[in-house]
Amino acid sequence: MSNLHLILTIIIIGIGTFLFRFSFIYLYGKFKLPDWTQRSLRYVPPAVLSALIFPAILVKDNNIWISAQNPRLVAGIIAILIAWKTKNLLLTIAVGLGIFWLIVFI
Amino acid sequence: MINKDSVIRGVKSVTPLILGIIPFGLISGITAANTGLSIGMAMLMSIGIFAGASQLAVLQLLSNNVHMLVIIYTALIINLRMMIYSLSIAPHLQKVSTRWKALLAYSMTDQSYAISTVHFLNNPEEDTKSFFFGASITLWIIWQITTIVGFLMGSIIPSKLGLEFGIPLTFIAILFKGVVGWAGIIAIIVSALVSVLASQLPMNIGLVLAAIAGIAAGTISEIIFSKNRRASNNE
Repeated sequence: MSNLHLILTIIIIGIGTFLFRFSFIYLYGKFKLPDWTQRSLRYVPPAVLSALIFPAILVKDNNIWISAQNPRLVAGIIAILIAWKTKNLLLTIAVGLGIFWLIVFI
Repeated sequence: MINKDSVIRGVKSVTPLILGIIPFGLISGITAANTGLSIGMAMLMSIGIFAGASQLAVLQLLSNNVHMLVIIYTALIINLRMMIYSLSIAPHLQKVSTRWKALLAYSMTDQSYAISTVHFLNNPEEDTKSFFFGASITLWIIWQITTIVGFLMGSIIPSKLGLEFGIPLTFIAILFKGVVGWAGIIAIIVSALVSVLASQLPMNIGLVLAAIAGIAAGTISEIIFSKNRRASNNE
């Protein structure tokens, strides 16, 4: 791809992504949303985060990999337990990375 | 006007996540260098798009010589979730000027969005603009610095390190922050199942499907639970 095409690609993605981010922050209040959307919004963070987490720890090269050999799964499950019990962000990430590297390098 | 204390609270709220963001920023810089981008182009991407997962997808597709329209389409599908974030955080930013809305929208990430929304629900008195700005700008700065460092270090860092695992860990760390009751747990479980089962679908469609399924499941459970509670109260 030429440099010009690459710049164009980056700019279009940048503008599109900005419009996604800006969309409802800008439009909110300019029209009335149905009541159920208000109620649903509370479930956006857990639902989206979950959809980002589980494929990252369970899927490798398009295959579901459930095994004690899967370092992401083992470290991920332990991190989930720590996050749930302690709600400590730093501890969750530090232990998760530590266990992941321990499994990968041993 | 910016409220300094709120900005600092925002900065502090995301500070623990930096440990997970640094490795991912490094990866993004390293990958840009290995794909043959100039540092200017890498930074244009990092500042212009500022969305890690889509940036890595773009780099991967560039090295596969895919048509530019496919690259644009893929990156935008990956970032579509930002629209849900935009809707979700919008009620908290109603009193903010349009110019600030644009700046806050531009710098919003998965992490700053999730941390801030949960904080606003628990602290209705917070200066939302200042807090959200503090949270987002911190991660923005870390992201740009680590991208440059990663680019310059390039091939020194072995790819086997699995540095990108830091990002799902930041998501795990904040997953339970705002979860209230069983409806939230059900949203997590349904979304997890759909996202894994649909992970074979092309272009990250599974992510959007799973998010919608999880949000619907959480909302429906909440309605059912509150009906049951009302029924048992009437007995």
